[in-house]
Amino acid sequence: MNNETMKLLGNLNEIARRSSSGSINWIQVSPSIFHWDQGGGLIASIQKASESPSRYSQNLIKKATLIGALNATLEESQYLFQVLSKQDKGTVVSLSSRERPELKESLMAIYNYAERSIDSSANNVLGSLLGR
Amino acid sequence: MKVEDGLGEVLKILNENFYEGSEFWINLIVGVIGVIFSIMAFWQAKKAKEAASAAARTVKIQSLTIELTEIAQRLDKLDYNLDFQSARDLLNEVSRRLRRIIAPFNDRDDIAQLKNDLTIVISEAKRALDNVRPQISDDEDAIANNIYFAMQGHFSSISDITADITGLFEKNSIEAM
Repeated sequence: MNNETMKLLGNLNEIARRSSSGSINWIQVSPSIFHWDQGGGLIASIQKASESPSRYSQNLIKKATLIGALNATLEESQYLFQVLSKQDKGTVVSLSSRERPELKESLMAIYNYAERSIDSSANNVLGSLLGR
Repeated sequence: MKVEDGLGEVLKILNENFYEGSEFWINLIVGVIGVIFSIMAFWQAKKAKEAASAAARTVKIQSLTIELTEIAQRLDKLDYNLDFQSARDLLNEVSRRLRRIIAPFNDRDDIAQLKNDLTIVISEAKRALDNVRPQISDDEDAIANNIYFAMQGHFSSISDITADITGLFEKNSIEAM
């Protein structure tokens, strides 16, 4: 892994850290997509996509299920992190775990923290509704 | 005298065996040949009917093969800027057309297996599509390739199974020739 990739991983981990601390305000635009409006004309997006298991995997699951050896599916998720310029609607950065498996853990961490931050926001709203 | 001669002739004819006359054998041979030709005509007509049915089936399968190829091409040429509505319409259309094409062949084991795979893949694609259903009615900041990223793998799987079904139909067409 070269220096630039290490730096990229560092930046992604920093986004994950700030997401976990609540300093990044993620908005859920669809069940598997979260947006963060950075305010400077850039919008970041993190998305999770479930991969369809291959035909071979499906057959393997069927056979394994038949003999009771495997209960879990081999379904795998992939993550896409993008940055969009609000001005020209162009994609400035696009990082996908499909093409960059080495980034998968960092992207997954960002997605998981973004997902949790929605629950945290919802709890804050519900808390204020309940006067807590 | 004439009457006696006539009666004599009649008695002579009555005393002769019918099969001893050449006319009987000529008539019999003509009759047998007629029956043989009738049976041959029946078999030929039966074979012609079977051939016509096989040809009609082959033509039908070929037209289904063309339709399957068209579906696979549509799935392969997925727009990178695919939006949710287009993806939903495409998935619904492809699902409906594939199910309709396969339905008459449900009793065949080879098709049944593919249909089972197809049902699983379409179900997963619908679930993936639900996961990118916009929650904001007018999302001006929607990123173009989010839907493509979520759906591309699923459409590719449907395309693979479509190709398998096409291959099976083509094999049947070749074998029917």
